[in-house]
Amino acid sequence: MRFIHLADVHLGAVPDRGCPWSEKRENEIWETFRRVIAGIRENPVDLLFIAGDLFHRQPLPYELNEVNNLFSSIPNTSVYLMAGDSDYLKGDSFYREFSWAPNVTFFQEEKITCVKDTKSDVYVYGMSYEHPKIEAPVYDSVRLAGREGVHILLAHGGDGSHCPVNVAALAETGFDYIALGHLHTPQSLIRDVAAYSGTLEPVCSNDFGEHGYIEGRIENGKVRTRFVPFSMRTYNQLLINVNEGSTQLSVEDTLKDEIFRRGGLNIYRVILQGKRKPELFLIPEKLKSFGNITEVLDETRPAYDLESLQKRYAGTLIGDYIRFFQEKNRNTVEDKALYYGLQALLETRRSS
Amino acid sequence: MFYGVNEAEKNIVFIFMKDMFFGMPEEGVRKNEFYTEKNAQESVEKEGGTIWFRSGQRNYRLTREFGAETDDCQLFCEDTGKMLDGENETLEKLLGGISETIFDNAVLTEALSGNSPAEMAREIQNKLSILSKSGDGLLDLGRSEQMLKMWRKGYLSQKERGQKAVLREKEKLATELENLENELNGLRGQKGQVAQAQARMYSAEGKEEAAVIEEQLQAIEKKNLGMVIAGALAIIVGIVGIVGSFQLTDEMSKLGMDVCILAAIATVIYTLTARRKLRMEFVKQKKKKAYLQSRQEKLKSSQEDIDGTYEEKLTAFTNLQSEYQEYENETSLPTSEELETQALNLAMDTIGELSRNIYLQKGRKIRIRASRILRELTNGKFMEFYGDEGQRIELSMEDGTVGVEELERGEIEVLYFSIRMAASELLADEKILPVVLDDVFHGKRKESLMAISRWMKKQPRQIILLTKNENVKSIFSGKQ
Repeated sequence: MRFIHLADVHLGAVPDRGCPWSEKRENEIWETFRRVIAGIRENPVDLLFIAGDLFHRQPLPYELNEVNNLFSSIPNTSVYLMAGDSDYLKGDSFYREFSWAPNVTFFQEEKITCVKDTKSDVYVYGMSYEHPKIEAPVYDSVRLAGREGVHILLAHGGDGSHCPVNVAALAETGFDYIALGHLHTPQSLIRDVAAYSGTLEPVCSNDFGEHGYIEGRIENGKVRTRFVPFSMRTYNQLLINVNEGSTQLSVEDTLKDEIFRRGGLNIYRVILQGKRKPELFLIPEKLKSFGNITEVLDETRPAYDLESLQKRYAGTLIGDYIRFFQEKNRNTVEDKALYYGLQALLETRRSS
Repeated sequence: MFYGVNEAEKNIVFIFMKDMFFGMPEEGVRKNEFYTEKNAQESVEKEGGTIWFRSGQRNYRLTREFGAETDDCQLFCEDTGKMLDGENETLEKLLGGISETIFDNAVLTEALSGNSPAEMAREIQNKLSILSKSGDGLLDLGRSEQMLKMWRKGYLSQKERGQKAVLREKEKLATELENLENELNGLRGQKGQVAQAQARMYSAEGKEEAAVIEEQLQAIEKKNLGMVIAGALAIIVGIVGIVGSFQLTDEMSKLGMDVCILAAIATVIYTLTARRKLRMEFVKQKKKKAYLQSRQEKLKSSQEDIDGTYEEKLTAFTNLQSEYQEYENETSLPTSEELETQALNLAMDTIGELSRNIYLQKGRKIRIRASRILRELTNGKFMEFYGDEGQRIELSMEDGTVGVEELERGEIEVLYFSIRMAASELLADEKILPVVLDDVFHGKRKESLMAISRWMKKQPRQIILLTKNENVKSIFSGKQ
């Protein structure tokens, strides 16, 4: 028996609003979801679990119809679906009155219920959010309805405001598999037993790394899972090291090479680090033109030997300036101020 | 006094002293690192020599050799006959802990480069201001500030561009919200109209209309029934008449039967006509009723459609409001440009504050000390001068004040000399350091030079005078 576990699809999200690729991303989120269903059509699985936040906000009727049409195109796959904290069941939610295709089970209440799959010896447990927050650890105390068959829990949460999850407590529940949603980064809590599939497509600039779904097999009552990267793009953090030999051109070339190597479709946050020669003034803004770059952070510092400079200029303004900042536990702004001021004073100082 | 030395030789005197005390300059170190990397040993910069100096009542000999990766430093105390460890810290202590830059500013006095009194005056104003505010005559606080402001301007422009992009996006969202709101208002209007129409329909007037139609239908049905009965009765009378006319023999009875038959025929014709009219009326009223009912159903269906569309648009509106709010929250976080701007502002403020502190602690004393020296050197002609914060320097005399640019060149040199001597004392925290005067005097005013010479001879510090001027040489060597 095979299943697919996905979560946090966030259909309707508009990532990186204002950036040139934003509209494409909105479409790509839908497109990737369609690709998953198309993949199931070609290579059927028995069960599809969607552990919450299928939609980014309250779903509209035409969106529910679109999703339902997709589900109905895989009639031999039992789909289990719950609402998460983003698409929770408000009083007037269109989820409430919607009629799903026969192969879809939607958990309608904020109470864990158990449904036996019509075609197999699998028991699926789940509940939907009826409020944007649930602070109680509701999954810790779930108990199996019986000993026979395979028991699978659909769960959405894992932080303080959304069904906090205790790994040890989850392990004791006895479920054969716990399909988790809410955290956007795919991660395994208990190998082959409890895992977050992560978002199908990354939806915000902090969703670094690979994204996709979890594919599982149930053989002789045992579950085996593997993560399947499936997203069209990834968000990446690029650390570009700068040294005293670097120039604006060399930094640009390094960035271009890195983007080419990792994929031009992907989206990057670039961080420049290291010690540069003091007279080099990098233009971070110019680097944004070399790819899909959300931000360029310049964390480089001029290669000054502060101790030696302080000694050399002791008793003068430069020495006092260095000492003033050295005596502090500097935050980011103060650190930058130290180097800005020092560079301005040294660069404009006449030579003796 | 060094007389007749050329420019390069003059530089060596001071540079040699400085490098011996403070080590090879950074530029030389960098060059040597470069040459070492390239394995170009023959190009390595080498410096070295021996200097004898006196510190704290003891005489020392310092021998030093610099090269690539070497700084062979030997410090020997001639009085005790002991070799000291030669590490910079020992040397530092002997130098009284002063830094290389203080040494630069306190020891070396270079000549003014201006040609005219006005140029020299401006130069003195700048030097005095910068020394008073920073302790380092080579700094250019004005240019530093300009540089920081230029960087800040760059970031502010970037921030402005970013804000414009955010504003454009917000306007887009606001327009979508407005459109949705207009649609919702339209739908509310339609809902109102439908509600009104329904209210009218179910009002007393509407109900009356329906009741009237119903009553009329019932009346028509009753009438119709009446006509049917009348027609039936007429037919019966007709049949009786026909039968009677055949059966009865007397003429009166036959006439009577004939009348009955005629009456029956007339009644049947009447009932048929009347029934046709009633049928037409019935159909008309039925149509009216059906129309009313269909209007009610249409209104109900409209209401459901409008409600459905309204709920959908309302959800879309609420979703978009959340989207707008989220976007606003995200874009209200400090941007990297704001952090950079804050850092630049902090840098400028700190430089200003520290500069002010230096002025308050030492800087303003330079003017006071220099005024005393000037008074001594000019025998009270110039009592004091003002203008150490970058403004025009004015000297006060017994009968008024005079601007520095109005002085003769020789007098300007005396003023400059006074300022540099005062700075030398105060910047070094009263430690007695030698001074190197590099062609400071041009030998025009003999009395001034003699006053300076007399003043110098009273000083506890060593004075190294470099000059190419014959007059200066004679005066300071005591031959005049």
